[in-house]
Amino acid sequence: MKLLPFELKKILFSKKFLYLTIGIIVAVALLLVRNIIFQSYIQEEERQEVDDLLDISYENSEMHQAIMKDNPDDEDEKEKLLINSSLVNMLYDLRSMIGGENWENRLALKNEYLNRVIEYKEAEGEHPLTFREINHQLALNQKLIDENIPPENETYSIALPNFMKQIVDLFIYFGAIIIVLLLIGEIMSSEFENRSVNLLFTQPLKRTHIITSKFFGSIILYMLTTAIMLASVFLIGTIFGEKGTFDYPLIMERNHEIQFMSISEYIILGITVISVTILLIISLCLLYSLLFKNTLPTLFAVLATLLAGYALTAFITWNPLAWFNPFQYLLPEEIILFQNDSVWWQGIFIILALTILFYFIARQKVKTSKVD
Amino acid sequence: MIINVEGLKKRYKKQMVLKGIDMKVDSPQIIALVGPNGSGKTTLLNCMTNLLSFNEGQVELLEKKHTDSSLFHEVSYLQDNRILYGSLTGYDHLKFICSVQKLPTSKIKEVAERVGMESYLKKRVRNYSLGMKQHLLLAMVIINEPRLLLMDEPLNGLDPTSAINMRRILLELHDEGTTIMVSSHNLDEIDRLTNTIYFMKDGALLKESLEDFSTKKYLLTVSEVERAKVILEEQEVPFTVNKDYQIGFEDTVVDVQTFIDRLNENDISIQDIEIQKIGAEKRYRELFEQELSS
Repeated sequence: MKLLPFELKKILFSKKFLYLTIGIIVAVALLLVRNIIFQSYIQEEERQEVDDLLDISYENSEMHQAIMKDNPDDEDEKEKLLINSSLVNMLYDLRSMIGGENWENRLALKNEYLNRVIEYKEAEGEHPLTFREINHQLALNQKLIDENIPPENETYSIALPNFMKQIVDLFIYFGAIIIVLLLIGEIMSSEFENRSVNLLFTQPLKRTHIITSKFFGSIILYMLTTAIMLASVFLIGTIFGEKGTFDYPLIMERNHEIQFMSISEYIILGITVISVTILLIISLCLLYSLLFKNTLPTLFAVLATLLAGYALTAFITWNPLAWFNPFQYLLPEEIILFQNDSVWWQGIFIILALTILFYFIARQKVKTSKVD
Repeated sequence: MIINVEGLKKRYKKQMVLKGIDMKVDSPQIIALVGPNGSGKTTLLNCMTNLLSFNEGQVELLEKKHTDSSLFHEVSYLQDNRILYGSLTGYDHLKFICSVQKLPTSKIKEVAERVGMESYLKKRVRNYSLGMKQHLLLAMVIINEPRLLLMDEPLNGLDPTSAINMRRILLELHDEGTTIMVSSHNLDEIDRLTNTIYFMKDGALLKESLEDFSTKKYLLTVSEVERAKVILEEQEVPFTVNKDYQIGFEDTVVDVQTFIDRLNENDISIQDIEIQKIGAEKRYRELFEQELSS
């Protein structure tokens, strides 16, 4: 492990690391600034949402009236018209409550509206919300009322926990992968390109130690970058955002039943699954670097592998396959929040097994690696 | 045996770059490796240090197989400055070498003083000049006091002062018992360092002792260059004129004492005599006449 401090120093003192750190902090700050600017837009968006629902209800009402004109004794249409009228009234009430202080009443009314939509749909009325969406919304609203937690806008929240979830979502969806590829994608290939590998290869070192130090060095750098990201979110969010709660509930499904997960649990699981995937990416980078000895082909090969894995994950949804799919955490939210006949940790074993396999292949490969 | 290379053959695609190199060195000495660009000097050094694979033959350094990484405790290889990391300081590089060579860090100050790089030891390498990088490379290869020192173009980018210092250090190391193998284009420096030269030509190695080619070049600073030229022209001696006051010729083409006497007879005073060894250059010209003329 004599090499490890040297490896870390090489990157920590590089301009690339400096720019990347500044980039992360600036991106976090800009996202919060955006959310602050869009605070007034939240109410506008809610009004627009209600107006859209009102338009649908008006259209439905016209349709029911037209049918009843032809068949005035149609009891089903009469019932749908009646329910639809109550939906319109509720939407008007909801519209008037937007921006008000009493969020509990607003959520209660929204739930009343959603229950009425269920009745309407059961009476075979047409409505854009699916039963699944309605049930999720009903459960979340009730949970917020029960826990006395004010609702937060999903896209523009400035409450620290919700803002942190937003950043973590960006991080676990490709953010971490992009950072890792930028920071350590060339950790081995650049040594061949710059010929600096000659220095390492002409020291009294076992070549396998070079791979080991680069592997663990990459992990430490990834952890450091993740810590910098979380720390900057925490600091910027605390100073310029609002307090909020890390117990804020998120809807999840476990074996087709609606359950809740707190934001803190979601953040921990999200970072865990993407970190495991990052281990695989690091070992792939090392292995491809030894094969291609050039950064561009190495990065291209890693990206191609990840894209193939992404396609595999997106198109093959057969659950038992997930135990053997090392790329499933490229869609982490699906894995964490929808654990139907599956568990969030099912991909960890195959990923760790492949990481170890690639790492040992890289160790073998470096023993006979030449600079030509 | 310090260096034992037997039948080393290296092929790049279809071209044979090293055509069965044999080299045996059994006592500490300075060896020069000379040849035009692309003659295979760096390839040979890289094969000897296991940076490149080869097709046939075997290499042993200090009685160890060239693939044994532990030999680098006693063998150092000075390569081109691309091996340095711009984001790190000279100190970081030397500290790394100390760490892998299991040396105390006090050696860093010692070697920096010897090489003359104390003033910029803690600057980042990306801010180093070419000469500073060469100093660092030298410090990195001598810090472990190797028994065998392989050097690929160590004089590149060095100003005259640094070149003189480098030569002094190499001669000191040689006196301390280090075997040094230097590849270089600088034939003047080679002449000053050693008489043992391996010329590389078309992937083959030709060992020469410059004792057999001890040609000297005389550079005479005279009071009247034009009249001195006439005397040399009368004797049909090939000569050169440097800086309008210095006249140069080789000792093989004229008897130097007779010429000096002729100058005195003609009242031409000699203000300075500089004598240069030109054995390496002369032999190089002979061996690579075709390349030079083309």
